[in-house]
Amino acid sequence: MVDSYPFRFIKYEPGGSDSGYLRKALYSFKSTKSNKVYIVEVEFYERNFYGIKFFFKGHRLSEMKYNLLTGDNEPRKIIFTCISIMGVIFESDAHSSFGFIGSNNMGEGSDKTKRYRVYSVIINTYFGENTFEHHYNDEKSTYVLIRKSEIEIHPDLPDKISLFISSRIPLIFS
Amino acid sequence: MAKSNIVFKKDKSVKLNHQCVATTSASCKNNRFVLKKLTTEEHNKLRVPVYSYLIP
Repeated sequence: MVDSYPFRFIKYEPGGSDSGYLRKALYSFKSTKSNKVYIVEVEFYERNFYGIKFFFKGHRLSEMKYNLLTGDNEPRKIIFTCISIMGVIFESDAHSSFGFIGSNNMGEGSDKTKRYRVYSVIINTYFGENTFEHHYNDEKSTYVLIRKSEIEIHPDLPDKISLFISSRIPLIFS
Repeated sequence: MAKSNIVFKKDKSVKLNHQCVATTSASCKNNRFVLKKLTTEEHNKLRVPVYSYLIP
């Protein structure tokens, strides 16, 4: 098991008018290293696709909340906590697929961002190819794990997920 | 009514962006967000092999 912080479910929020976006689940956890609270947003889309996002709670009112760095030098444990939340969803929803976008730092472009490179290594290290097909888009620093069992039922699933993500990309990059 | 000799032809050089929003045709792939499938070779290159999979 990966080293992660305990987390708690906060609430559900309604989805947006974007394509296929149904609702959002909010989770929180506290870093014992920095004493900072983080918010994890799990966006739930049609076809059981979940988009994972997180930010430091102190940045919640900023439009750049996904782009700002805390400077606490503990990305692994924070990312592993997000992976633990993914694990709970994975266990509870046998049809689930997951995706994330590695947002850019201030002054960084949207292509192969630093966050995306870190996330990609961690995801490939801990998620094999038996359960999920791995898909990516370097230009928009996007990584997606799609259940193979769902692709067999819905061969157009990668295209559908592409549409879901493309509607959200403008909200991620600064 | 007199019949016009003018023939309207579709100008194929004009491409509208909205045509590319919900299609998977190859001609539109440059204009839309497309996911690529990671190969096993790329997967093995990216991962740190000393750790075992959480989900195989």
